[in-house]
Amino acid sequence: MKALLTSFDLLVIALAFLIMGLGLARRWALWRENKPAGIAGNWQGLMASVLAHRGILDRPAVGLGHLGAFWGVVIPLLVIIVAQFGFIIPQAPARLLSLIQDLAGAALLIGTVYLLVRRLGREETEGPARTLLPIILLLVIVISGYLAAGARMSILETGGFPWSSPFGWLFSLIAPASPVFMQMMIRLHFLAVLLLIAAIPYTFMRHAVASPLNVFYRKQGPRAALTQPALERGAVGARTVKDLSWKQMLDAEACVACGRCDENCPATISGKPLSPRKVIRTIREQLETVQTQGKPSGNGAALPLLENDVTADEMWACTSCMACVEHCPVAIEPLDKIIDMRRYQVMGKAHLPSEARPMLRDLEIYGDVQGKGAAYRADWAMHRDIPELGRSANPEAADVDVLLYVGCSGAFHPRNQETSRAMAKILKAAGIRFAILGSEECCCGDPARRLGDEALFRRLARQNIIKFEQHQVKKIVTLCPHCLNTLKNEYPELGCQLEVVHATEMVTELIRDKRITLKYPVADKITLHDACYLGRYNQVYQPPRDICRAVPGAALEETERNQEKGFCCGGGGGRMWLHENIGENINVVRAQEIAATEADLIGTACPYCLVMLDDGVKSLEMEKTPKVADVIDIVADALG
Amino acid sequence: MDIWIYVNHREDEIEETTFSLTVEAKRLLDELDQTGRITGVALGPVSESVLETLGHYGVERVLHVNADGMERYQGEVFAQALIQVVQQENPACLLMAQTAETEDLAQRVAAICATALVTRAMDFNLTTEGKALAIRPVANGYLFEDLELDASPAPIVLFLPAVLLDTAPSQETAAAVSAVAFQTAADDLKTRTVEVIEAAPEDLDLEEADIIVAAGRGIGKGETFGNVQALAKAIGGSVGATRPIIDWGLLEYERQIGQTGKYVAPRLIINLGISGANEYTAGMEKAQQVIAIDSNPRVRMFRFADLGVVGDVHEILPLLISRIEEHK
Repeated sequence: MKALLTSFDLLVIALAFLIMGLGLARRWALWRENKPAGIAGNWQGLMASVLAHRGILDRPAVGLGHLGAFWGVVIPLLVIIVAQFGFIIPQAPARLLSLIQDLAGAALLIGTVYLLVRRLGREETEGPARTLLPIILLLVIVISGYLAAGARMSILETGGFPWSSPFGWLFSLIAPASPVFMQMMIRLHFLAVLLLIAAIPYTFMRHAVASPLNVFYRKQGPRAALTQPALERGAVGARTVKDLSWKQMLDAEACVACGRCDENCPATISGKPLSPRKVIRTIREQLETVQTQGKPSGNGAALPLLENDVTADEMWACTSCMACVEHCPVAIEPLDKIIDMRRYQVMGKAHLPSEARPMLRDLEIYGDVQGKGAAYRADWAMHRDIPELGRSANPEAADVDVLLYVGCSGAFHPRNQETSRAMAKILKAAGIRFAILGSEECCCGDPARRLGDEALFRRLARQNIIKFEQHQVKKIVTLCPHCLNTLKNEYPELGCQLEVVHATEMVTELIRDKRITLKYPVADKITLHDACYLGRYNQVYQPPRDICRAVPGAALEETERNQEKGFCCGGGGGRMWLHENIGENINVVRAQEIAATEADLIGTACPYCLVMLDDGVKSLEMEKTPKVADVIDIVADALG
Repeated sequence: MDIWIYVNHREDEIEETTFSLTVEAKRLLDELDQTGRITGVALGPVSESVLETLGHYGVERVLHVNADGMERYQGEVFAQALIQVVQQENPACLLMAQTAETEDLAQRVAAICATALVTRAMDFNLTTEGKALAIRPVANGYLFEDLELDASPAPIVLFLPAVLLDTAPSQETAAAVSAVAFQTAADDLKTRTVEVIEAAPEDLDLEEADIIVAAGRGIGKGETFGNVQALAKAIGGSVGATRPIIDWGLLEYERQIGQTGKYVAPRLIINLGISGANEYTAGMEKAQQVIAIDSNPRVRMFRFADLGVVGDVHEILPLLISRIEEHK
């Protein structure tokens, strides 16, 4: 077939691209003006996501459907573009190309039909109307293409089964041998393609550009670290969409509402009104409103407030477990937007659930979440010969390998104090030179930060950083994953770059290096609960498992949702201090799942998880309630 | 001699502390052995019939100032109003119960009238020699401070609510309520209320209760909960609970004790079927006497208990209630 484009065709093509270009430019005027120049993109991630569909394929069926549709568009498009340049290639590669073309079309057909059937069969509140038009357009494109090819084969009467275009042959069985019909199909095909191109910025197909872009510009550095609002310049979180960063707006553009965030969100699953997908959709809708109202730099007062569409019940239901971020195939982060909304509620309006106020007040006054005060912070270590930095007159005693950062729970909560003592026992058994900060330690600031009180977080963090510097701390081991996350991922932004590891990481190393040996059995069947702040936040999945496997005589039974898919205990993001009066209790949902493993010991590595799960299994009122223990406790018990 | 007490009222009801102030006022009169009277001064909207009830507690008359702009506490307006009546009448002293509102008000009035002011007072006396003496805690209650004040112009004394005594009506006479004319100078105000943001409905009862009967998971969802309420009724206590009870919907959130609930400091707390997780005990550590009833002798709650009873709370409660009823 000769490449024949009339000048009229060229005009129509130009028009389609012009419409697309204008639409994209208009949409992106929204966020682009805030985009800092010269930020590095992630080519590797982009290629993996676009070409190999990494992340999208986590759900195989729909992922393959999309993969088929994607390559089914890209390959023929490339071939057609190349075919416009008149050249001759030998028959064999031409046939192969034809076969690839034909198979790509089949992939598109199958993928699109699957996606369509899936859409129609599902009682979804979101999506169908938006996604139906592009899907039908794609179907028109592929079917008209095949019919044109089939008609051509009928006209040429090649006879027999052609290996170079098996699917085209199938269509030739139904396509009439009429040149007029073929021309009609070619025209239809051509127009539908142009229509799809022109429609990209205005329909759901926007994601074909926005989502790869979002993957390309995905957050660099530790993804678990929250961004710092510029408090000095009066930023107090997100009041309207205008307070969001350009990347946060791009996030909203990139969302296709696939719902994987909702499917993994503990709040959504347990019947809370929060839906990460809705949060993102709300932001996109408000962005669109801003656009119709005029330029975004217009009068801020007239903008719709985020809280109008994301209610208090929604934003305070988030446990900050990061499942939504983990499972988003195109690197969208609903979490940081929820935190930004909380920040505005707390710092901009002083609106905070009343039950969390005593905790924040305690943090302000006493520097710990329990309101006990620094003077009592090292009480758990009393008479146990645990060196305290700053207390010892002997400078040699201060020369230690590692600082054990105990955290508020480990220092004050009776259950977690046991874990602190267990850790001290392990470190001593291994001959590690360690010390604690004692009364000079204060809260890492995580509870304040997750509840939106950024100013309080910074104050506490600075207090700790000053102490770290004063005592020339080089390495820190934390008991609590929340401390780990703030110290390791969030303090660097405040100018404190230290080696920070979690207790489980360190203990795993000690076991591996044979510096401690676990001698005594503690349970027959252990199961593990992954702490979000350890797992998803810091990718520490293996150490707790290695520890449990090192315990003599214990079998490790995994829960149904584990590791990246792990289900939150319900205590993160400040939820530990909030009431849970809507839907089921998250900790009970999790406890039920854990109980299904019929383990007699539940290992966890986070003080919040410990308390939440302990309460959760108790409320199940089982005949024999499994014990909940920190893996550090388990190790200490097994040491004998 | 004219002893003034400041009437704390909310939603057309006089608050308990105001009646308690009459006890202090009567004491002052008695100690001086002087004939005199107690005058109540009420600012803002409150109905006359309500103010008249102060007479039952020995208040002879009530001066009531209400004008536009006094619907809600506004420091400048209220201070102007109070200063006006104080300067017109020249009382011997002005007693108030310490609240956030009176603290603000008293400081304004004292500054403008150049009178002595004692906040957080535990005791106040007027001597026959014409001196005024007061005691108040300092250093977080570890030390006490004796104060001698100028008795004139009239000192203002803010009593800590905790030291005020309960009282009951002693007579039937109604207090004479006279409305005092007052013109607010609304234009001169340095502060203006822009918006009123209502606080979440906080039920303060539990924090103020002397006796609390607290129920935990061990009580169960069944009928036993009625017994908890019956026990509270029998001994005149308030009902509190741990989180599971609240989650089950047996009580409203205002009744939760603990880290995410109320921090209570009653004279007596009876813990029924509570294991004593830190999240709960953090909220009741300051209770003076602690009784715990639970079937498991190893629960942590017993570590806090002055009296621990190991037994089935479902069996003990009916017996306990019937015994208390017998004693009545």
